[in-house]
Amino acid sequence: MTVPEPVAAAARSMADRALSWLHAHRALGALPPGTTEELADPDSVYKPLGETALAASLLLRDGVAGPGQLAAAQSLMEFTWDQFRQGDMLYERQLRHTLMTDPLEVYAPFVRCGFRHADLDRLLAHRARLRSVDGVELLPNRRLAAANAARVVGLDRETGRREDWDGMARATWLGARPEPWAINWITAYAMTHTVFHLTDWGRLPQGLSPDLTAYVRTWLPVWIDIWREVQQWDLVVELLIVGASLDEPYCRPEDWETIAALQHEDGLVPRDGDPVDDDPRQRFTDHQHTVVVTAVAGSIALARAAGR
Amino acid sequence: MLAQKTARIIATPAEAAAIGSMMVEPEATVSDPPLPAPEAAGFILALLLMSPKEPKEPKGK
Amino acid sequence: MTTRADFAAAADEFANRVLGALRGAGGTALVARHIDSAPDALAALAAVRVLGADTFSPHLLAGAPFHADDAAAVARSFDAFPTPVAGPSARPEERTVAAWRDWATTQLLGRFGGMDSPPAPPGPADDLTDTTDWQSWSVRMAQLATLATPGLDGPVHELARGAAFPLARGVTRSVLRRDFPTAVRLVRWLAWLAHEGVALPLDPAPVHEHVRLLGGASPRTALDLAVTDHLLTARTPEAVRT
Repeated sequence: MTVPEPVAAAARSMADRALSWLHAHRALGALPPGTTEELADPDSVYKPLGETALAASLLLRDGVAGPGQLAAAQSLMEFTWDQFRQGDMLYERQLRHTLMTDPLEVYAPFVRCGFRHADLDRLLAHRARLRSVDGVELLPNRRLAAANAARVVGLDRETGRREDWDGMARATWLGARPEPWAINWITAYAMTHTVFHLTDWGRLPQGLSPDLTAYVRTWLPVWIDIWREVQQWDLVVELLIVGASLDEPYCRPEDWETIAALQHEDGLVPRDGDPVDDDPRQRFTDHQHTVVVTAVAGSIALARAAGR
Repeated sequence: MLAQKTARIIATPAEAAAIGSMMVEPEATVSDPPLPAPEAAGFILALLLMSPKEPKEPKGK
Repeated sequence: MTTRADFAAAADEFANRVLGALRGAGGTALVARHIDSAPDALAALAAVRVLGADTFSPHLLAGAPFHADDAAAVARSFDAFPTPVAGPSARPEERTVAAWRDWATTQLLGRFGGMDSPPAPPGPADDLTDTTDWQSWSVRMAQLATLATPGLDGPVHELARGAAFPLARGVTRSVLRRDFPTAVRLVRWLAWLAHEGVALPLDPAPVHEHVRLLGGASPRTALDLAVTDHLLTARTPEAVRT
């Protein structure tokens, strides 16, 4: 089974409308004037900006969206890059916090699209050679996030070190192939991220080993089912990304069509079954993450359907 | 005891229907799967790119 | 008029009796004594219909004797409730499930009650062959959990042998939905598959313990759990092997 045609149709609609929404509402995600590398609340604006850049970078990488969407994605890359002062802010933050991984992680999507910051590149190369950085006690799925960002930025070539992807995968929850009935909500997110990073967001389906792929194929239908039933749409869409990223994609038309049907005309996808607020700023705060994952899901499924 | 053994007892249709639903029990209609829990918040705040928003307080509190 | 609550109470009481017998307690003529000692004979007969093939589990699993009086009592329960879900609201799949449950009970009644000709299956298990919709299929299999016992074999069992994945998904789904009565019944099927030597995608022992701890204390659930214990650990008495 590859990606069925109804899934591709739903995926195109999801990706196009989600990207339009991100582009139309980008100003709501702007950093407050005077923001420096010291962030009081990194989750409020910095993280959403990085997520928008990630979604746009994957649409450009996959190249399967319409020409208008690709132009909007390019525009979002430039907008977010400007927000980060063409990388200066990421550089200053990484310079100030040697062991933190978020400047590297936020930088990776820009590198994917050809945006580079020479001083940050030099700093990251220096940092990548430090045993201190390697020894930071990250959660296993976070270690994979940093390793994948380093792979995208090209730091593995810089250091000549071969990452132990299998060892890192085995250290995660998913790597233990645990009892699937004992998963919880936050662990489900940890599982999706393990797949995202091992496969570099669907680019390397074989980055997930055959035994873990078989495990995910067996239980993903159950997880999608139970969180669909209680309308945890944000998590459901992340699970759809996981299915689309498998060596042999698992994409069930009913699941994809449900999300496509939920999406508002302007592209918003509600994060859950609760009413959507009318206030534009609140809507952005509440649902921006779900729109980002919807854009990513659509782009990856379309790329897989196109055989990329 | 003897009477019970000899008398033929037959359920009414309503009684038969009542045990029908006990023999063929439907699944629970209200699902109670793992949902966002405030306990998860500390984990989420660790700057996960592409992680969900911080969980809302559970409804009804 | 006996109410549903009366029937439920009688079913719980009978389940406790069967459970006791399964654990080696009690004397002889379990079913007959259950009927004879009950204040409401109709409710007592209903309980036998509700437990269905599990009425025979002390005999099947623990080698307890099955008496002619017991056989007569089971036969009377069919007289009292000939077609329990034949009401106008019964859906076709409910009729199929009820028919297969009755087949299992009469099959054992025929074998151990001295009936001359055991009943034929109620037709092919066509309604159950398609496991694509594993969610509702597994719910139907949970309703058929009384068939998951050593000594019974038929088309439903043949389907189950080929459906380890849909059953394991059904177990996982019902545990995550916290529908423990359904989960307990589906784990029983997994244990039956393990007993049959079918390879499973899920280790039945931990999930069995999990649903035991979370599944509540209803006597009918306890009976399902006890049968699962036997399937996972105990040897079936040679005498009833077929």
